[in-house]
Amino acid sequence: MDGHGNPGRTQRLAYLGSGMELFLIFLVNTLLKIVTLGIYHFWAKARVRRYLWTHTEFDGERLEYTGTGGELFFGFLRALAIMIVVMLALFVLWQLSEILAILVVMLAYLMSPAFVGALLYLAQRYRFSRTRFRGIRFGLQGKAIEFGFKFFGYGLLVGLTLGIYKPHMSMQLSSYTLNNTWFGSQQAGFTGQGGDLMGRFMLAYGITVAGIIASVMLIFSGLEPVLWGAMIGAVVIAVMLAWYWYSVEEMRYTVSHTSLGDMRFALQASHGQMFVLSATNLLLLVVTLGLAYAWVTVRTMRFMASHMQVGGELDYAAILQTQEQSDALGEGMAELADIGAL
Amino acid sequence: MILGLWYDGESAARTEVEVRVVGRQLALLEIGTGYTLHHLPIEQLRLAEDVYPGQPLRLCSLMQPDARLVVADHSFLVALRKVYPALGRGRFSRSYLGGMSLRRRFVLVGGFVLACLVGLIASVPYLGEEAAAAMPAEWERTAGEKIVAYITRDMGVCDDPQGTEALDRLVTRLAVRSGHDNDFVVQVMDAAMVNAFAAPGGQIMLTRGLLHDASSAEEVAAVLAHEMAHSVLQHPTRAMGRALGYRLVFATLLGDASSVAGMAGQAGETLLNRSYSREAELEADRIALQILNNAGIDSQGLAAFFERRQKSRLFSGPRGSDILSTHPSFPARITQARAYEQEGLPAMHDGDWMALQAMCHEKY
Repeated sequence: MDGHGNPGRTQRLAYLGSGMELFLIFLVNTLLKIVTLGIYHFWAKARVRRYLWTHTEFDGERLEYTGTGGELFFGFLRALAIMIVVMLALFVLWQLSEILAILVVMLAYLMSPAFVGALLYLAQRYRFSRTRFRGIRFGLQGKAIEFGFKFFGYGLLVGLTLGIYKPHMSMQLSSYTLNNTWFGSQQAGFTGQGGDLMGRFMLAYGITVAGIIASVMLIFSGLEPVLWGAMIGAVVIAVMLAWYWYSVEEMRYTVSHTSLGDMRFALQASHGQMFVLSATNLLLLVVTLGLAYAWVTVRTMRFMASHMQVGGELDYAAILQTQEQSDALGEGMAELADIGAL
Repeated sequence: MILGLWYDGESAARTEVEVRVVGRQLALLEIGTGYTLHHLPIEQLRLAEDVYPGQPLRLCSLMQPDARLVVADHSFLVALRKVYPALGRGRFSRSYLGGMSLRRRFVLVGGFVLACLVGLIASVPYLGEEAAAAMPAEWERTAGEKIVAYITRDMGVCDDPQGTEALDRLVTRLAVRSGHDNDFVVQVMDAAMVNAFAAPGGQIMLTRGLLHDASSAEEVAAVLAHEMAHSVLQHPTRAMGRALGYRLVFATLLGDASSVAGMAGQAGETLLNRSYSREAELEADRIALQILNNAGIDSQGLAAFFERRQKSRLFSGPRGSDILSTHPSFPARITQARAYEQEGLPAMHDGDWMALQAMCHEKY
């Protein structure tokens, strides 16, 4: 039980959507996308989000998504216009000095992870500012470009340390995002640290290294090809399971170190339950050639909501409408860069 | 008594209220005391979001865009619509979907959409075919040139002047005598496979392998006439339009518009590896025999070519891009060729035939 004395109220978060309804939305969206040669994409996205948000209930009140397709579309058009201007500028630069133009393009290419990070952050900011609960907007403060540079810099460190820095990177990024997340005037918080996950990460890492060494030894062992093939298959499965185990550990750790005011969270799903969910989702998608996507989405959200334990209360009367509405330019750019999320 | 939850948009505090329609206004009354907390003009009310079955109504007011009124009882909407009938009905606003059960909507809407989708998927390739056939000859030629350039990008084209001249003479003879415009562009691709194909806009490719495999100039003339017939019948253009239509449908189905862009190149691959329908092949054969007969060229080469290829294939086993895999040779084609064939003059004199066969010689 949580430390704030709320017995019997563990089931405060619920997902109430239906796969059939979502499938119907997907179906109508598909038709409209074909008829409009794809332009309906933005409205389709907004419609799906509205459905997913409004069926998420917390303490008897549902989330509301107020973003519109038109907004997303104009965000995309503006991003497109900016890209055309940048391209024209590059063209002009190319006319002036080819070496300079090549340098600029190379620099932009090297820095592209920073841009990707910044765009992801901007898109997240847009989504937050279009999410309301009890009429109050969420918000994401902080600087997108700062997040982008963290994304880039930590990514570099991960590469230099052969991946070992990964838990620190995840926690640093979560920390930046979550500490900048606001529900009205109420700031969220995150206290997770990469060091806490290091032991578990190194376990999965060690299994991977051992697996690679064992595989190499098996190949040169002189055993029957069928035999060592099967053994390497087993090693690969063991390594994948180790990483699956670690990803669940990281997810649970992240959730349990997140707070909103006095509210604390805990993901109370066992590894087995999570594994069964992922495996059945994959199976459903494969068997139905992806048609079950709507049902997979809904059952995943339902699973997450029903296994999320929430403790502590918010002083709702003290939470004021303070977050601004941000614009959809960031999401438009993310869309253009093909990293647009659901 | 209808109850609602009121959020004023300034804080996240929740106030339970009784809602009552008073004239053209909506009154929010404090529970217990009956004291009026707030008035909202009903015409200013909008649904804040779509209402699915089992979901409470969430209303907002144009005057207070941040505030929300949540009412679980759907009959409240009926009361509001008596004053303001358009509520939740506009095409571009949030709509009320709670009036029909999900199952019923699933059958009605889902069935309608599915019928539209099937209709579209069935008709777009056909429309693409018609649109391609109707496009200006200029575009057709440009598309054809691009496709030929794509297919020959690795192999190159044999451009020996004597061979080219001999080939051009044969093409002119075949085209002019049949009354077709002589706007065919026939080239020989430097490839070992035995094949021939027609691209849009009168572009025709023969292969080095075909020239070497043929036992007479009449066989080459027959294959050439066959490809010219495909071209006259616009088979390549129509095939391209159809393939484009299919791609367009599936690209939009998968939500990936960028793959449509890379289509031009793949259209070439399609032409190289696809076969036309049995009816299209028979029709092209018929026209080919007409072209040969009109030109006075011995048209027994077609059936002879088929029979010989079939035999040599029996010995060598199936190969990748063989002319028999792209131009299926079935007994009906040989029978038809035999029925229409006529004796005639040689397709070209010996000097030309040797020049044509030696066209790619230096590459050996």
